[in-house]
Amino acid sequence: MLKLSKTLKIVFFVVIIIIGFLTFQVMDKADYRNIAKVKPDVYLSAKTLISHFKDGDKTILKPESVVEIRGVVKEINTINNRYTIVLKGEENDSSSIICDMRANQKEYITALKPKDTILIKGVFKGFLRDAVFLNCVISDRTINE
Amino acid sequence: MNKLIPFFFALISYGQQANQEKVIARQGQVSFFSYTSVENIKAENNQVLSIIDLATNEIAVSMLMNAFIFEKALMREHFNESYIESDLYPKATFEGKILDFDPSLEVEQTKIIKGTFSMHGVVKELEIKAKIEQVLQGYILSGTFETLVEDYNINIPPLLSGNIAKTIAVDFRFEYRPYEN
Repeated sequence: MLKLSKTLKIVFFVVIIIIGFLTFQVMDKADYRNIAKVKPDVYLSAKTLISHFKDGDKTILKPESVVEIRGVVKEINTINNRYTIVLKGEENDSSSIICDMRANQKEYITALKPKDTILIKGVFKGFLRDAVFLNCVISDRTINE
Repeated sequence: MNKLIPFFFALISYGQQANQEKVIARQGQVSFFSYTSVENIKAENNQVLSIIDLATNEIAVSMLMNAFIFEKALMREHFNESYIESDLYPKATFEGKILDFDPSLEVEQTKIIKGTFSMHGVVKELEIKAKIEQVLQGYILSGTFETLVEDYNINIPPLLSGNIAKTIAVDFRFEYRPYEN
């Protein structure tokens, strides 16, 4: 009886460790971490990033990497009922950087306007016509007077 | 040289005209729903790219599979790593034509879009019914359709088969604006 109880304890302990490990594996993904506190994998300017993509260098960023980008706000919109900040590259660039903002960023976004320079941190998802970032937070901003 | 100037102007104006005939949606929305008695799963992608050529009624859609947002972290994990394998198949695309669409009409039109959809390495012919309305800045295209999970070579482990519906409902909505270079 005592032996069985000991075995049960070990099984229970192992199960808890496995569940804990799996939970950590999932929650450690960039999408679920508190992006504001995560150290970025890469720092880039919006212009540099877009010029790399324009030159066909789509390997500059790995999907799911956390990136901090400095750029000028082209547009702020609420399409699909989500706050999105679009950063522009060079004046004639057709490509932009689309940053889907975290819900808790609303108060910072309402103070922003086009042509402001901001520093945004987010999770890179890939490139279509524009570079797409999710889970974005504003790290810093300079108001364009 | 003087003879070339009108040619260049004609070329530039042709290029501008061709672009004026295109509209683009950079933040289209595609969502899918799976309803079962065990659990309901919903995910949405809000950065879907689509372009319509209004001269030919051709439409193209492209989306990043890892940009779907789920309610639960584990759902997203299973979707990307086990089912869709977004590292191997990062994008899904659709190319087709809106049949009998008249872009000049201001009234709402319901049309069939016929084309090929490619996802998870599987290419499939699709016919989708969509509503198209002309708005101040361009067009809004929306609709819904159902698709079978098994058609896209997606393997659901027997243990989880009760959690995922065999038929998935897909909603889409695109706000098109004039195309800019």
